[in-house]
Order: sequence, then structure tokens, then C-alpha cells
Amino acid sequence: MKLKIAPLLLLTLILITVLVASITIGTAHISFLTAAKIMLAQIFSIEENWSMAQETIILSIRLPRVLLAALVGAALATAGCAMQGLLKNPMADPYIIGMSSGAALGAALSFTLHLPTPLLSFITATIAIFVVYHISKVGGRVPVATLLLSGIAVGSFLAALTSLIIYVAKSPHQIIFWLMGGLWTSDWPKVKIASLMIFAGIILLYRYSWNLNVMLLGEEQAQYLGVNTERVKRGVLVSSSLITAAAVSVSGIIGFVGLIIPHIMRIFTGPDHRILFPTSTLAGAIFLVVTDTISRTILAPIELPVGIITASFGAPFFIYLLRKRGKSIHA
Amino acid sequence: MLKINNLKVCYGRTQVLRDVSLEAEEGELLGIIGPNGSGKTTLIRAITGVIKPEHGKIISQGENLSGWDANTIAKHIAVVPQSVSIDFEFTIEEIVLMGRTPHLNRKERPEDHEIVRDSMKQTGTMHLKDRLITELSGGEIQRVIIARALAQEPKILLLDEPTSHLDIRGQVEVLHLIKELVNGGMTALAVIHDLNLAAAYCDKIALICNGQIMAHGRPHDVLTPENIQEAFKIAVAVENNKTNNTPIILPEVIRN
Repeated sequence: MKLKIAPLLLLTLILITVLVASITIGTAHISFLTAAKIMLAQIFSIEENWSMAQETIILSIRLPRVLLAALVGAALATAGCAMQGLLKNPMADPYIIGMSSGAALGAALSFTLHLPTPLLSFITATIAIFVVYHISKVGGRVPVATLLLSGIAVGSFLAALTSLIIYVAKSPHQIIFWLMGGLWTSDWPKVKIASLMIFAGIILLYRYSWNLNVMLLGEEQAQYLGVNTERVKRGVLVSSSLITAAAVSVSGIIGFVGLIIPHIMRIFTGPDHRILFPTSTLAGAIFLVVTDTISRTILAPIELPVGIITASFGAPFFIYLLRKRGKSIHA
Repeated sequence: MLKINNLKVCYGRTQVLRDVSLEAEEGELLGIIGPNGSGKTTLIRAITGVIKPEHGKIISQGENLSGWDANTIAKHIAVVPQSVSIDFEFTIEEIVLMGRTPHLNRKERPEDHEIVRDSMKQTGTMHLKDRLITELSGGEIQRVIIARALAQEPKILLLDEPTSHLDIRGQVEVLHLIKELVNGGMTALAVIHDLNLAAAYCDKIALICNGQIMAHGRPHDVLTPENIQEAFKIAVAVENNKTNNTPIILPEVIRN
């Protein structure tokens, strides 16, 4: 298999451009040159000719936010790609086996009990996946169809609990905004914790690329080729749950990225996870940085939840690609 | 060489195979025939360790495979499964390279590509190298899957109804290819539904019925009207194909 390096280079270049551009775009006008100088001043000594306010905006507000958007986008697209490959289901996204409902319940609880939202949503999301995995276990094996169905069942149950909390909550709008997903609470501690978990999880997932390819032929065939399919399933589930939980806990439930980005990349790269994974990671990062920049500028000074932008800009583009390709789409 | 001793396999409480003992020498094609549900596919799963037998031994080249992990077994035994349908747009070369999975250590080496090329040449699939698996005909796919099996560099080839979804030309081409591999020293065991094809191509035949071996030996000795009547509950006439001296089975046509 010849690995295509060109798309990776291209996507990396686009990502860097988009990151830099997004840092300079915002309500407060700061020129590209000033923004670049402020950032470089962290590493080199540069004569200061900008205001404290400008420095705060760039370093404490925009930079962590743009980085967090890139991390969350990368995490969701990579996890979505892994779930589609593992479940061989084109409808799969990072949330499909109950992750989002678990995180939502945690967030809803945190707002009513005044506890830290990221921590609680991370914990409940992880518990949800753990429960789903163990419900699906039949004699040491986890059949993919059972996993999918028990994920949906557990998810609906948790969603019912969340609805109940929203219904009786004093300030339900907080929970509802969180459910729409947004990056307005970005700060450096979030960037640090999320990047640690997301990088670790993504690297773990990359290591399963070849085995996921072989498992696309069917589980039994993969076993005949010496693949320990149960170990691959467990590894992929753990790693993609880790990065999804990390992403959700800092940004709420941002839809669409994890579903559509892998499909778009698959159209260009084919089903080989060794190229599909890294391109999805990069494209997910690019997509969320761009859509988040739109969400905070399009109606400035009002900020929209980024989930609204991801779906309303991404869906038409995806429909266009679907029609243009004229072929069926597989996971 | 493949030797199976007193194999017993259960699904839950149901016994699917009992006291199955078989032997296939190097350069021999052993055909497995038997009615639907008699345990033929289970036999293949048990040989490869995908399901664990209650007891019994699988011996290849004098070594007992029972304690081996899936990866080591995959270096030894390759399986060509029943009707493969792959919806994912892998190229033929990629599919065949997947046969190298048990040997790969994350990165493929130049010799892996060489083995892949050799396997494609041996199976006459070299010209399909850059085509997508989703575009090929059933016969072509089956040859590609055999190429993938060869890329595992196995000592033993197990084939589960390799011809069942092919037209007559595809059936003959695939069996011819298997025969060539066997003549080159491979040990092969093939589940075959078509009794006449089994008779024409297999060196030995084992007839399985209700999870037990009913008859085992040369085609003429196994494919008797009595054996077939007992296993398949159908009356047949057995004649001799003069061109290659193999039995031909003709079912008695029921007319109303």
C-alpha cells in the first residue's frame, strides 16, 4: 500500500493557516502582525508595542480557544472514524453507544448540584460506556450489533433522566446551552488536560489502523488472519471513549463533526485507516476551528453555540459531496 | 500434513462434532462432504481455533496446534471462507497484503510485497492488482481470497465451499487452481457441496453426517449409493466418468 503523504502535508498546512487566521479574527480588532508578535514574544524577546488588553485577548482568550477547538475537532473526527470502522456502520459517530447521553446527564447534574461540569460529564460519560460494554458481553465476546443496541438502550434511559432534570431545573437554559456545544469557556487548564488525553487516545487509535482494516473484511476472517478481534474492539472502544469524553467534557455535545468528517475523508482516501485516521484528525481540527470562528463572529457581539454552525454549514456541503459522488457510502 | 484426532466440539450443550479423526498428507486434497448442518464449517472453525474443541488434537507437521495463539496458527493455516462479500473499496493488492497480517510487525517490509506479488502471480490475479474488490466478479474475488491465503505462507489451506456461488466455469477454475497448489506440495482440506466436483478433484473424501465421519477414503469408496442414501436420504445412481475414472453421482429424478 502506498501511503499518500501529499494530503497529510496539505491538511497540515491548511490547519496552521486556519489556526493563525482564527487567532487574528475577532470582535476586538488586532492586526495579524501584532497578534504574531504577541505570540512570538512568549518565546523570543520582542520590543512591546501593544497594549495589555491586546495581549490578554490573544494569549488568554483567543489562543486557548482556538487550540481547544482544534483539539476537540481532532478528537471527535478521529473517534467517529474509529467507531464507523469498528461497528461497520455509516451512521456511527463518537456518541453512538451512549457517550453523549452519559456526558449530558453529568452536565445536567453538575449545573443543579453546582459541581464542576467537565469533571462530572467526563465521569458519567465513562461510566455509560463501561456499562454498555459490560451489558453487551456474551461469553467473553462483545458482538458489534449487541453493542450498538445496548448503547442505544442505555442512551435513551440516560436521556430520559437528563430530560427530567432539565424539566425540574431552576435554570434549564444553562443545561440546554451546554447540550448544544460550545467553546466559550475555553481556558488554558482545559487545553492542557484535554490535549494530554486526546493526544494519548489518538496515538493509541492509530496503532489499531491495520487491524481495523482487516476487521472490515468481517470478524471471522480477521480471526483467521490471526487478529485478536476482542482485544482490538476493547482497545478501540477505550481509546475513542477516552478522547470523546475529554472532548465532550470541555465543549459540550458538538454534533456532526464526528459523523461527517470521516465520511468526507473516506471519499478522498478510501477505507485504509492508516491514511483515513490522520486525515480525519487534521480535517476535524480544521473544521471545528473554522466553524468556531464563524460562531463567535457571525452575529458578534452575540456568540452562537458552535453545534449550530457545524451542522448548518457542514450538512449542505456533505449532501453536495454525496450527490456528486453518486455512489453508496460505506463506513 | 494435517492430522485430526478424536475431535469433539460443542455449541453450548449440543454436540456438533464427535470423534472426528482425519488425515491429509502433503500434496493431497481432502474433500469434506455432507448434508447441511452436519458440522463441516464447524470443523474448519475448530481446526483454526476460532472455536475451542472440548477435546481432541489438531496436529500439523508433528506439532499440536491446540496451545497456539491465533497469530501463530494463522502463519500455519490459511482459510478461504464461504462467499466473501466486501463492501469496502480496498484494492486487490491491499486485500492480498492483508494476508501478511500474522507476519507483520506494524510495518510491511519489501519481502512482504514480494510475497504478495508471488501470491497474485500464482493465482492469476496480478492484472487485477489496482482494481477495487467491489468491482470484481465472484470468481475473481475467490481467486483474490486464495491469493490472500497464500500470502500467509501457510502449510495447510482450508477452504469452506470455495465454489458454491460460482458458475460452472468459475467452479472449475477455482478447483483447478487449488489442485495446482496441492500438486506443488500444499495440504488442502475443502468443504465441497457438489459431489461430482468433489469426486473429480479430491484425492480423498470424508463424508460427515450428524457430526461424525461416516466414510473416509478414495472417492470411489466413499461415494457409493448406500453411503449417499444414508447421509443425504436420497436415492442416487453412481456411474463411472470414463475420461478421468472418477465417480459421477446422478440423483434419481422424482417425477409425478
